[in-house]
Amino acid sequence: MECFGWQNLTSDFLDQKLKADLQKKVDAHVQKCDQCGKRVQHLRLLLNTIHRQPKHPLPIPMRKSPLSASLPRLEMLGRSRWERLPWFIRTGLEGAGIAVLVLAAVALVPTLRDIYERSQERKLDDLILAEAMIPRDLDSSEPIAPLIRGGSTGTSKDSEEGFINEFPSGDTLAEEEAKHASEDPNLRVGNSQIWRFNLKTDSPKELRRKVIELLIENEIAQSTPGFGGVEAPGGIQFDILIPKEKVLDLKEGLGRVSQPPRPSLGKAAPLREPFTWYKSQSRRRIPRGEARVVIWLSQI
Amino acid sequence: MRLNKKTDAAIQGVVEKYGDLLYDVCHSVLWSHSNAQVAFREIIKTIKATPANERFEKYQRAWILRISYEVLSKYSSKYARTQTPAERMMLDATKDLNLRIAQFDSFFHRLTMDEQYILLLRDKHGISDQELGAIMNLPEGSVKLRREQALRTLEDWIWQ
Repeated sequence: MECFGWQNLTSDFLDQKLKADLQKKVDAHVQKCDQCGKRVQHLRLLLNTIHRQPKHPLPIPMRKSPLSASLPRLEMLGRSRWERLPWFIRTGLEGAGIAVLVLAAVALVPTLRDIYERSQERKLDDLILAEAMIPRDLDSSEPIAPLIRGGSTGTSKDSEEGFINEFPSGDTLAEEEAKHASEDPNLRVGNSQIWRFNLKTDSPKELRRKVIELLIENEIAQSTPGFGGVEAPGGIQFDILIPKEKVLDLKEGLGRVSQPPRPSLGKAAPLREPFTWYKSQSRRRIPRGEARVVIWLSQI
Repeated sequence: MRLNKKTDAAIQGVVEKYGDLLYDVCHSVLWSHSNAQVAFREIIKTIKATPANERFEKYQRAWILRISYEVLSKYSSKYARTQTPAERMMLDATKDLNLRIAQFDSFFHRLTMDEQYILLLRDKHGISDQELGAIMNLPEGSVKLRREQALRTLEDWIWQ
């Protein structure tokens, strides 16, 4: 007799209903095997415990009139209202709930993304505004005109001159400078002229502040369109109409504020001068007594 | 249905003879005094509703217990008191063997309704395997097997 064989006869063994020879074999095995011996003790203890459980008598009212005695309310003990629902209703509701949640999440994603992007843009605008706020001195807190982003210019929208990258590149620029310098050593500001200044800098925003100070120094009104400058890829541009007599002073001032040229390093090509300029005739009419000034602070 | 004196007497006879047994089984399975009374009433109603020519006289006890088995199967899924997860955890966390044995009732009610029914009728009320098989519509061997399984499950829970 082995453990498995004995376990198949547990019920009859506990009730002592086994045949004599089988009973002897099982008894012998139980005495030898510790595990089975313990098991027998446990099972007998369980049976005794079940047998000794208190018996609940029928209540007297129920005994006297089993069909007419008043009944207490049925108690749903330990079960919530949800658990009392039939399983197919619960499963259906749970499935529908999950489907609704998933659909809602999918529908909300674009909205959440928009909200996030808008908040980021607002933060960026605030940052730009904060950078544009430079007090002139400790006493005055007059804010400078904000820096505009994008393609709008101070002058007419459909300027024939175009936007950014208006400066002729490299050699052409040098030629223009040479041409102007050689043609007219005593510079004059004529009618309907466009004066273009290009300043190279590693921090256009910092230089912008200096340019604005310069414009204020030269008594250019802050309400002048384009006074604050326009931010564009590659730098910041000022496109304003100023009185002709201020142009040369402005030119001189721009030459001062521009950064000194950097020394060339090793085999690297020497950098150009940070300040260049040229003038041209405007095809459109500019009000008398004024000249158009385009200052381009290009990012190195 | 009009109350029949003969029927009333028959019902009263059943209540006198098997009332305590039925009530005890209902109370032990449903684990609630009030729910046991409701289940008992349902059993008596079912007995009363059975036409006289279909009632068992010779094997009356088995027939009545069969009705109780069907009623309790229906009621235990909805109205039987269950342990909360916290109660189960506390029970399993008890390390003292004597305390675990003292809470035998709680372990007992973790068994399925069929297992509880078999152990109650077999070991508490002394009903034979044959009669139990007739009540639950099972072969005698299956009754013995289920009884063994229930006892082993209880043993595993209590002695871990």
